[in-house]
Amino acid sequence: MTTLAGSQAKSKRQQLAGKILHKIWDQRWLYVFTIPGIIFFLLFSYYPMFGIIMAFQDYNPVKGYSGSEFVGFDNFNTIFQLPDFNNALRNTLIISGLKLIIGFPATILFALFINEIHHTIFKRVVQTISYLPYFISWVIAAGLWYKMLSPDGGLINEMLTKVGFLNEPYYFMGSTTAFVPIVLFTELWKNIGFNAIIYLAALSSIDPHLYEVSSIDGASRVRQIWHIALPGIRGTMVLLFILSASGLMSAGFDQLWTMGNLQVQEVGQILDTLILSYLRNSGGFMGLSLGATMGVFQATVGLILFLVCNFVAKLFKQESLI
Amino acid sequence: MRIQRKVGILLSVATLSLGVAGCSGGDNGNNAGGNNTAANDTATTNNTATTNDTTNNAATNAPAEEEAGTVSDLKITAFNWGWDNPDPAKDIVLPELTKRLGLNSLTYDVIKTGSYDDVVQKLQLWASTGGSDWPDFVATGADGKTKLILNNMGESGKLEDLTPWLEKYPNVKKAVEKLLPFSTNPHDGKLYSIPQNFSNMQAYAIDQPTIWIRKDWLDKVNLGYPKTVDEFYNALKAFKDQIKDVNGQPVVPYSAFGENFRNMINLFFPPGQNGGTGVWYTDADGKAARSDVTQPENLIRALTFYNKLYNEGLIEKESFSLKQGQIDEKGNQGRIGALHGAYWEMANPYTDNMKKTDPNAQFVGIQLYDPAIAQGPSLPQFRLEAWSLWAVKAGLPKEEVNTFFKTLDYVLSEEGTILTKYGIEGQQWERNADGKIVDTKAFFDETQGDWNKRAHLGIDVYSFIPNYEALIKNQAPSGYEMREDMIETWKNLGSKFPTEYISDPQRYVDPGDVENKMTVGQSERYKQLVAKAVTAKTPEEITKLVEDWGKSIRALGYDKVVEERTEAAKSVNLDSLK
Repeated sequence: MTTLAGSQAKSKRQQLAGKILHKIWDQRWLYVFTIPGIIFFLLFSYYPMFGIIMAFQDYNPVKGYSGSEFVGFDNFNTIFQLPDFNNALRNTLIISGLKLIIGFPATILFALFINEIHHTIFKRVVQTISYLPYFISWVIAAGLWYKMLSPDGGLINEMLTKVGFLNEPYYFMGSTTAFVPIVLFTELWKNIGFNAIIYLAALSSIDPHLYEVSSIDGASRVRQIWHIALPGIRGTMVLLFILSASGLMSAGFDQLWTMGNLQVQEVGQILDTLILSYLRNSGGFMGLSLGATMGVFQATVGLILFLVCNFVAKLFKQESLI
Repeated sequence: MRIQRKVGILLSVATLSLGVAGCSGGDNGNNAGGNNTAANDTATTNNTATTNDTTNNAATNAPAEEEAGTVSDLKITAFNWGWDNPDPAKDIVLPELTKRLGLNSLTYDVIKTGSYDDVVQKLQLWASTGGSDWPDFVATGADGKTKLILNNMGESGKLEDLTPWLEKYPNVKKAVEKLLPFSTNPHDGKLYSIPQNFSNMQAYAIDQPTIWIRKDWLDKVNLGYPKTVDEFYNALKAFKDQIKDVNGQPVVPYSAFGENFRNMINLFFPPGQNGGTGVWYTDADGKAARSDVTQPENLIRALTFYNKLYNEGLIEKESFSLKQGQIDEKGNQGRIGALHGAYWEMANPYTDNMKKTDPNAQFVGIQLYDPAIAQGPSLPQFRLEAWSLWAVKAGLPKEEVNTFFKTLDYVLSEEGTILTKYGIEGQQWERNADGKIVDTKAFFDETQGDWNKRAHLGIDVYSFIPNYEALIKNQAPSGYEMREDMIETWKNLGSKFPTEYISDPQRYVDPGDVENKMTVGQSERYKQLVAKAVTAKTPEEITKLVEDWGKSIRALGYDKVVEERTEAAKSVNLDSLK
């Protein structure tokens, strides 16, 4: 009896394995297409993870990983005790938090507006104009905004003084009050068009019959958005929110490095810019270990945020990434 | 079919082997070649060397030559972060130098980088490969970070101790001897680098007075050259009130700070005692001290002065965010009244550009002083220092290292110096009535004295080690020394050359381990302190900022750095300054 049951189980396992192999063979080209991606991540994401060891060493590249002194958590202690660490951490959380709070719904709203435009040419023009800034590097973008906001002949200051809104030119980029709003605005200006693409793709996958039926039932455009469009892209929203929330410790290095200046460091210095500006002029190889330490710290917090958001999303909406 | 396959395999193996050999040819291939060449060409090279030795007095003094032969191919690596390189099609110096050295080929491999920071990063990158990518012979910078990298490499056996080679080449040793105490590794006393280019008090005229000011504007507002900081302030006020640019727009009376953070805060301290967070001095008790911490009253006075300038619109609102390019644009347009920097960076080029539309426009250098701290202006003191260093990879064939030192030795001779510094007689230079070297008319017309244009021909590029005695003996005043604005500047300063060495040992101490750790990010934080204080709303705010700064620096371990530096200064030997 036991032998019969055992052979039946074995046969089932063989059938299952055969099915899996058969399925893999059927989808072999899909697997082939994933190979470059797998290689990419292995080479550029997993292999460099070995370098995390630098965060726990007084790393000296001449001596290598094996020859460098192990210092435990000393490097973490050093970066937490940097005089501006707390300020930079606060700025990072404020700026990335505001980017999330404002940028996340703004992108969805923008995608919904674009989706509601039925004049094809106008829609394409708006979309193209909104995408364009995404393709400008932050170095160029920061230069443009500095020039436009300059108190010395900048376009915006000229306009505001001409219309009497300002008595004399105002140095926006040097103002701790104006700097964060400028950062948020320029972030939206640069990325809203491109970020909306994913939502537009999700919106386009909603069955048009749902809109037709609701229209027959007398639903207004706003009602259609609320009851059809938004629920239709809920999965995408959850996914992107989880990803955005996990990046809360990175407030946008490129942007803050190029737009920040000495006068606004109090509100504009974030963890990434702090570590680079501090360590690029430090002696010896100390910067390598401390830079890696900051990276490990940010990644760890990011991972925790990711897991928490994922858990919460799963708990309330049964939507999650993992 | 089988034969075809076998032939195919053999061809593949052969191709692969050649490919691998080619790939590794950068260093090892050359070394291997060097070895062979050394063995094969020793006679030829020695013959040539014998010919050269008649003109190269140093080579005859090298007893090691019999022991270490020479190679016929040499590759030297250097960095360039902004100026022009020789144009191989025009370069007349390198082929002539190769010929005179009796070499088959002398390759000067210049690595172009965006900035000096990139140079240090490149060294770090090379070091992080365990030295396998490190060039055989390389000229690096000479800052503290670079010295640490070189000494680390040396201690790990990746760089050659050059002490024995200096013994074999006494002329090279003589040229750099004064600077050797500053490039010796403090841990093991070995020399993993020797100076490549270095300062000389008789050869380098003062290039950075306190400030460059528009002489024509001073004339317009009926003011003489300011001498004190208060007179300077009055001149700036007059510029702001009375001068407009060509479009009738307000001018920038004084361009301070900017990307390079140029300022004159040091004027508010005793001479030689302030330079942001980078300058330490010996205090009355014989201990190391940093004036931003120990002299808060002077820092407050300096920042209050700048705060007044900022609030009255005498320096720009954008002072702390302007890029150098933006300052250059305004300077060339003739919108700036006063600025800091070396003559060749801004003052001379701005003057030349402004003169195209306004023949009277010119910047002239002046020395200022603060009456609260000094009785009169003082000249910049002279720091004996290397600006760049040579490092030699360990494990190279001694013939190759010998060839490198022979090259240095030749360039150091009077003949080599004249070739590398001025080119070929009759083509690029001739002697004037006083027997001094001057450009030929054709060469001057071609280059207008522009260093970069001269560099296209290889002039002043291959000066691997300067022979200042030969230069001073032979050289007529250069073009810039004949300029009206420069003559006026040195007249204001009372001297063309510095007259005193910096003799405070603290100014020659390199940061130690404690200091390197304690001062992480301090220069950046200091700049933020200055920016906050200069733009502060009230004087009380400035005082509080400076007080908090002092407290935070002390809390970070200032006293330990004082101890470390005070101890380190004891081993600084300044006998070479005598």
